[in-house]
Amino acid sequence: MLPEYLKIELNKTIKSSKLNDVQKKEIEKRIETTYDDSLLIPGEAIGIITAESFGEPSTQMTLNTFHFAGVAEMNVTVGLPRLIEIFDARKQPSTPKMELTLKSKYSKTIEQVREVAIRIKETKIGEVVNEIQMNLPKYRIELSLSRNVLRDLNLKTSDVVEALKKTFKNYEVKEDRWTIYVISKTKEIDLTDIYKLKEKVKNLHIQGLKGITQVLPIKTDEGYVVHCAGSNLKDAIELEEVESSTIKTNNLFEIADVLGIEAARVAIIKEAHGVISDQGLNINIRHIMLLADVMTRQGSLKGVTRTGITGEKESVLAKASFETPIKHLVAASLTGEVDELNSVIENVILNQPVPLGTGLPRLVVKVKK
Amino acid sequence: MKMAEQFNIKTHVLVPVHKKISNEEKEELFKKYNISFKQLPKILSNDSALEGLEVVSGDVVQIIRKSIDLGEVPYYRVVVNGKRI
Repeated sequence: MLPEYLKIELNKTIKSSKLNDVQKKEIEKRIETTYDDSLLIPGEAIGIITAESFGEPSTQMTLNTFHFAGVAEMNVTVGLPRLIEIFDARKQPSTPKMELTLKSKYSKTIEQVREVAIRIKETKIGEVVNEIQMNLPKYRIELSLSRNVLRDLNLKTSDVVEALKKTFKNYEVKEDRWTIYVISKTKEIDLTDIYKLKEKVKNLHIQGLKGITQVLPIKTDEGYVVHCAGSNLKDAIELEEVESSTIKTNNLFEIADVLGIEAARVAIIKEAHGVISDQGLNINIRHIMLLADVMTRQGSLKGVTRTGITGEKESVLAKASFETPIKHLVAASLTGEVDELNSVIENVILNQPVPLGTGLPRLVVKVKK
Repeated sequence: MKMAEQFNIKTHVLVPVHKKISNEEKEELFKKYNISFKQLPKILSNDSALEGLEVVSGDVVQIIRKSIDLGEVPYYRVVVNGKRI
């Protein structure tokens, strides 16, 4: 039986061809047989086929990182390290990256694009000051602002003062032309306190999205795309200037959190397929889809690790056979766990037929009373 | 920086359509594939994509996935309570 969608597609193609009725019937019959033959049969060991399909090509991947065109310090993890990162479901990718497409309204000129990009990049106080001085006798620290940097970042002294006032409510904030004073209200303050205050002030966020360390606007066919080093989907999605519906990030956990588990599944498939095809390799996308389905099965992202999908397994022996066997066996014997021997690996260990292929069906006997 | 109006995540390209199915449809589904709740994949009740659907634990959500060669394919997840991440 062909699925609806294929039937419609087939009918369209047949209608537009110049074939007689007998030929049409024959084509339909053959396509249907081919389709039925290519379906999986119950009990097929698809997991191991997926593992093999990934295993062989991934030995040929390069370990190099790819350098971002034109920018020295912006490089992205690709190849095998990235693939491992995706399937282990690491909380933070080693090189988080985001792509924001700007609305055409906000990307008419290069200057406008640059201005938006600057406002996306995270700016801390430490970047806009020439120096921070600690003045212990007067219980204060003195920030001398850099006029040039402030102008480049479209910031005013008042922006900095406001940010300081918001965070340091226990301190008095005064401004005097290009100098800002943060003064302690209590007199009981020693050098360690004032040093801590200085470090805090230095790292205070004044503009942009948290975590975005670099921005790079690139012109494409669809308009300007801002490539960001660092990822902050939650805040980026609310930006007025950005086309929110097409934001891309390589942080899968952020996607799962902000857009839901189904979106994370699509993202896993896209990311993994991208990594593989970038290396010039070809793994059928259905293998990646299977893996993505398994990783998102529990409603949250689970990696292929002993704490992830293997840890979800019911069988003690199955868990023990993956990683850290002694830990699992000790924990299981302490709690008195029972292994029902329902799956493959535990039956392999015990030298029994595994529930795969012809081993899958079992006898069901109805006993007459 | 100016903030846009609350972005509706359902319009994002990565998010497929989520739909709550009725009890009759639920039974039909279980009968068709000869399965029970336990065998369905899960989705957390506080999942972002379920906003506004008013689902409770035990409901089944239909997800219209876009397949590469089969057009639109329905997929089902059962709603469970739990912590994200």
